[in-house]
Amino acid sequence: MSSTQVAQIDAERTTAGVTTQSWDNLLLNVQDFLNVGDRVVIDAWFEQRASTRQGLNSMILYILYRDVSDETDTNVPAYVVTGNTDGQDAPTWFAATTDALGADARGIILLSADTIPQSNDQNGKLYLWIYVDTSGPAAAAPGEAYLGTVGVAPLPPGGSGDVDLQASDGTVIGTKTVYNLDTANAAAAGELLYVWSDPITERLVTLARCCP
Amino acid sequence: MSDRVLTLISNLGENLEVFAARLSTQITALGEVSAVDFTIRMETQGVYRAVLVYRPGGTTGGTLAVAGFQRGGDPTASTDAMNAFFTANPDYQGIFVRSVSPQDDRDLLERQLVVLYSDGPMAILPTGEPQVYAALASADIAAGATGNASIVDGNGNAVGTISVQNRGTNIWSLNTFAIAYYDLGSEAWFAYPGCC
Repeated sequence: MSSTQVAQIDAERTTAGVTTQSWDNLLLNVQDFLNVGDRVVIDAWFEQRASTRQGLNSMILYILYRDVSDETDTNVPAYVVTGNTDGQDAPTWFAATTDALGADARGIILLSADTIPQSNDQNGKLYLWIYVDTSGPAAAAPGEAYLGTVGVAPLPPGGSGDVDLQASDGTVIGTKTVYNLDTANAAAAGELLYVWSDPITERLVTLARCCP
Repeated sequence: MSDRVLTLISNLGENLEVFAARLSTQITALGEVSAVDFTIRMETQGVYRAVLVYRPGGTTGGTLAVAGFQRGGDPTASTDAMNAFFTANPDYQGIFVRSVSPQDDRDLLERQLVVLYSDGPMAILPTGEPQVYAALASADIAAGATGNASIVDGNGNAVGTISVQNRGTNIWSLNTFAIAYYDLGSEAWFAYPGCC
């Protein structure tokens, strides 16, 4: 069974033998952590100490997550970490970022921090945003539901396969990996199914013998 | 059903872990609730203020609680303690994590972490959010009748029990699947079993 864990990620990073501390490093370290691929984000929080002795070393992100490394065939969302740079106007950055991403992003976590007292921009804000790349296999928000048509291969009992998700007018809006929770019955190729995103595991699931 | 707020302020100098335990007792006294949001901060040196926004009712399968970790001597001691706590209790599901570490240099190595968690998975989502699950009838449920069903998550694990109305025209038989929906209008669960 998956377990809740917490990660403590700081702003220190070593590149080519040189260790530095910066806001950009923090963003990279968080992205590296989530790229492992068996971590489902639950929540996150900043810790920041206004210490003249510690500087950016005092900036830590705690990520609460579910470790699903012991689960097989679990769709973990593709997380992307981004943020503004020190001194860059945060609202302008955020508007430009969301405009560029459009429907390809589903926000998970947005946190702000003050630029450190030593920064030239005393009133600046730093933003860290974690979103799900919705072009990935677990695109739907938890609890969202769709009609879908099984692809060329049937969905085996207790197994996964490709399903074409549909908009209300029947237009195919994407092909996703869907897990059949019914361990006794398969869904035939071309069969119309009710598909939803499980709120706990974020996995796209269906029941082969429960038509829309 | 409207959201409500629980606020608790610590005693002067009260240890964070002791305060978290006291907060858990207050939350338990609320009965069955789900978490909407949670915050905790240090108002003045040594005084914590915690605020829980909660929603009465909801699904069974978990009770909310709070745990605090105030450890020094090593900058990861509190994080390690929290991970050990969840490893020892794999059914517990974290919901919100907060840091209330001192903002000055009193103890550079001490970290103060708080986690709001459920001792079962079904309290993760507050009542009022879109929810759809596969559900297994705990007993035969006649058409139009209400009975209990076991919720199954995306990995096929039973994670809680709900009271659900069979709105179909067929009996929902023991241990057979149906899709259970949470209706945001009536704030109740319903299902249409045997629709194939």
